[in-house]
Amino acid sequence: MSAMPPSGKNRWTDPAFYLPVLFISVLLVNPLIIRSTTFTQVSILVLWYACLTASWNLVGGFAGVLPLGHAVFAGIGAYTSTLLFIHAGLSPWIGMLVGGAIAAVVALLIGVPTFKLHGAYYALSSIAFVEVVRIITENTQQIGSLKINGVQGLLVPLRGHAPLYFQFDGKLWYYYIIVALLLIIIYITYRIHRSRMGFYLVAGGEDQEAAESLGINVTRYKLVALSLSAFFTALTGTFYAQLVLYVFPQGIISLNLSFEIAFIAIIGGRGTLLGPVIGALILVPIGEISRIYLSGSQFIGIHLFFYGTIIVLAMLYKPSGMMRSIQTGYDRLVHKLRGASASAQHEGER
Amino acid sequence: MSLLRIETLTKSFGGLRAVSDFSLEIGAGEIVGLIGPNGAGKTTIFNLITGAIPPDSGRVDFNGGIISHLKPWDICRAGIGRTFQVVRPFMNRTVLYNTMVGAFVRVKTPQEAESRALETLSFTGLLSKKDILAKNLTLPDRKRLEITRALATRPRLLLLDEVMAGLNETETREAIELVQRLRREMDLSLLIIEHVMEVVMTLSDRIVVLHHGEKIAEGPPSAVCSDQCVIDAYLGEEYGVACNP
Repeated sequence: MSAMPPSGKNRWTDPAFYLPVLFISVLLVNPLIIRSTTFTQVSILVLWYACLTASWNLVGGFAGVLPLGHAVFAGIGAYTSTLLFIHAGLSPWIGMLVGGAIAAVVALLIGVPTFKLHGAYYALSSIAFVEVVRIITENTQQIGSLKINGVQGLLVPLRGHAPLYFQFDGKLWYYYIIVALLLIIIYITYRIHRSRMGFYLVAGGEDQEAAESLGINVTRYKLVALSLSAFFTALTGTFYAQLVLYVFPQGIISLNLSFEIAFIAIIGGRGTLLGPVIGALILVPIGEISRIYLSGSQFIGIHLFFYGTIIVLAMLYKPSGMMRSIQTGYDRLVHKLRGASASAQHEGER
Repeated sequence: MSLLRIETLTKSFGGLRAVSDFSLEIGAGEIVGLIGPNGAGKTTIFNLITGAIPPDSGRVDFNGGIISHLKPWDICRAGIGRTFQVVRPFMNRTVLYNTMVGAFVRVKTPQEAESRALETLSFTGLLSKKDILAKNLTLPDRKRLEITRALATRPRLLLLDEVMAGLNETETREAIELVQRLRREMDLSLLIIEHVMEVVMTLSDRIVVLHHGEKIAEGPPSAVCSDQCVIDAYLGEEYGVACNP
């Protein structure tokens, strides 16, 4: 943000402070005001995609590579917490962190060989990664005594309303959990973006050789970013498993999901802090609304047609994403409000 | 004792010997010019010194330690900075951002990096352009930014690859002045690749001439430009006459 929020008690009169506070408040009270299950459900999905994309953005946005394999990390999160719950009775709240840790390690293992590839070759290798993992999962009935159930997937055992086991009787709970997760991911992205690591990721993404000549071990920073990104993607995966209480390979370890994440990021603005949120706000409702109102008719898959159209338009007219225009508009608004309050104060003094 | 010491460095690409048995020493505070026709292996030598490509044989010592097996980022940390022949700033970022990336090698926090970057920018005269995106800079400014960015890593030896190419007379004079100030005020040693002979002659304490990957002459500017081998290989008869009336 170019307009820095001031400190002190005067900040409540500064738009650069109260506008973000206002947005977050709207985010928090919205589902309490609009009491519609569909609205809440779609909002949860928007935020869920925003979480996935914000995690993806750490490596796909700032580090300048195009990873298309993130569905695997979401799958690791969903499967790990569910398997631990079924077999060890471990609460998904803890299983979620275990899944995150496993995903972070897997990210390192897959990143070491694949980061030797660049551009489209890296993207292709990550596509292969999702496909291989999905096919293996689909064809594995069990590992030892661990039931994987192949194509059928796993049902999360029901516990009714059990907050300690990540199961709730209302959608609102899920809404607030995903809001919290999104705020955490965005805050961490913000901190990284402003740190040395953020500078190094950007430099390595723009020109690897030049960055290396300036003392940056580009691959190492990319690995750290990928690992962190995988961790949060896995948390988001566990959330999904607990929301729908059912995981199956095609549902979560899918190339489709990987592509959707990348589309949302590109349309929102790769490498911007809030681009993933903006992208999810634009694309997810279109997908959901067309799925809800047009499915079952002859328009099966129509949402993909809308996606395609929007992506083509975005590539043509906003190749660097919507975030830049929104940022400009926001800055102008802050400026205007500041001007208004300053002149009002001026009037008062006279 | 010399700061940089290259011994019998050799590199082949397929059947082509890009650099063969190249040796060179650079002392502290010395400016050495590296000249030769296109394809003589000048940039390859830069890439070998900075670790961008590994040598087939030979070794490079810097500041008392062997660096020929190190990776580019470790060589930068050891104290060697470089610029690229085709400038490669981070185009979508500001001048200040570019410079801060370099400064981060020596400091950890963004505040320290920013203050060091600002210092370096004011030294190279780019301070007033700090908020401009690199892609909106003119060519001379991009070259200046490339030097600034390398300088922000606080090197002891700076390798400049054709930083004067494409500059007009005034810009060249300013660039020469900057290079001389680098040695005088920053205590740097420099190895420069340059095609503009007047520049090399003015700046260098010593000139090394490369032809087909081999060193064919080395010495003070006046001696090198009257050397018959150099005239035949690179300068041409006219220049030899002009330089040696």
